[in-house]
Amino acid sequence: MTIQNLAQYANLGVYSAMVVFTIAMVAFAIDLAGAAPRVSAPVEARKEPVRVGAESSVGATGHPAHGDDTDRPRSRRAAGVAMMLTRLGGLLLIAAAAMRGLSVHRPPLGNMFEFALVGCMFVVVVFVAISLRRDVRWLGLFVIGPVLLTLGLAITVFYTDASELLPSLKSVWLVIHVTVATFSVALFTIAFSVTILHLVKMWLERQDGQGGQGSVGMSRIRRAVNTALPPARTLDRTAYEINAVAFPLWTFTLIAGAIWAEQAWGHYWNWDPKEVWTFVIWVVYAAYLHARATTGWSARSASFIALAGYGCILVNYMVVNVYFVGQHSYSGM
Amino acid sequence: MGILRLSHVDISAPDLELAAAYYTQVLGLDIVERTDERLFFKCWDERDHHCLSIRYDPGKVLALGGAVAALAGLIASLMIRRRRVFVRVSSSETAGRSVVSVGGLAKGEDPRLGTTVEAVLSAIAERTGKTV
Repeated sequence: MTIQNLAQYANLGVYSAMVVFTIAMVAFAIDLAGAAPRVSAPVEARKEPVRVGAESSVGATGHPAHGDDTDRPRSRRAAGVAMMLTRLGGLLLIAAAAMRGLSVHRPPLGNMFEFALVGCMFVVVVFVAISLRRDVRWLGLFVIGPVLLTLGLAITVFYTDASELLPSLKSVWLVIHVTVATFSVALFTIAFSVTILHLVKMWLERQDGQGGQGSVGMSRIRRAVNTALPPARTLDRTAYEINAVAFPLWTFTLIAGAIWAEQAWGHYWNWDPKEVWTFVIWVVYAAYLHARATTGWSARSASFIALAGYGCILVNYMVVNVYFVGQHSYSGM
Repeated sequence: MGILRLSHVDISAPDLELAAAYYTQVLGLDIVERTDERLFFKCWDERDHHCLSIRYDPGKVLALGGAVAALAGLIASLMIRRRRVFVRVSSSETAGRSVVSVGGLAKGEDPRLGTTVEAVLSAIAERTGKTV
């Protein structure tokens, strides 16, 4: 098997993973739609005050019980299929990353395509790892969706042919610095999805609690999302926990980058655009963690800071890499 | 690819003055620029600014130690739960005996606060031989 072949097989792996993830995403969506409590009564009947009162009082707990659905738990076969497919897709991504690495005789962390590929692989691996310990089937759609989008961008827009690295990048720090950076970005991505879901769920819960409207007044899709998602407090805590793991890793990325910079460029800090943006991200997420720990800051405001932090990550990856010229530029990332 | 030309060499030295003396007096290089932490040398037929730079960099160990300490502190601040547990012993007139009450206060959310309070309570009960 020649080197060119291996790189092509890696691309094939990415395409296969995308197909698998697409089916998984559809299955997750079907599962989510199935969460909408079935209301057997006609629309007119649902407006009866007695029924509305009963439903909204239960709905406020986050798990509305609806008539015949209370007896038997809903079938989650679609979610089961989706989780299996997610694992399969994860394996395909691991294989793709490994083949890409073998084809260039180095860790596949040298350009934006490889960074996106390994990042997606980490996202899926972390998601599967979490799913082994907790029921996170509700999160599947919102993790696999972004992964699919990123893979699509990676293989079309960011695609770079398999090539050697510049000699100055051949360092053990490439593995340390970039692997940890990619891993923490993967964690931040999952936390970002959970944060958005937290804001959505807060909004739904507020609507749910508003004077007698209850979950009955909501459209089917809102009811589905409202039922499928855990309570807002749980979502907030989950997002915080993931961010709290990602933040020290990001700090380590910053430090390892500075050490490598000292070795390669002679200074710890060169005010390179990538360095500055990495630091900006660090400051924004530090602000988020502080906001979470400060009384008087609502969970909602803190969540918006976390969203801003992820916005900075996107800027760092997509804007800084492409438009800003700095000392990171020669690596193509 | 084959090296066309070597631009400069950058090394670090524990004593900049000693290095300066060695490279000028023993090897015969010229000092072209001098800062507090760096010396630039060139040979007599050198067209570039310098071919050798010597750096005095005593902060490396300090920087590494500081970075490790900062990271450890950060992880500790994120992972360690801050909680206080209060134990109050009061005499109860009605029951005619001492009543021990245990309370807990957590900074932020703390799902395991209840377990801690119960652990303290059962430890007290065990030592005193009383039931909860």
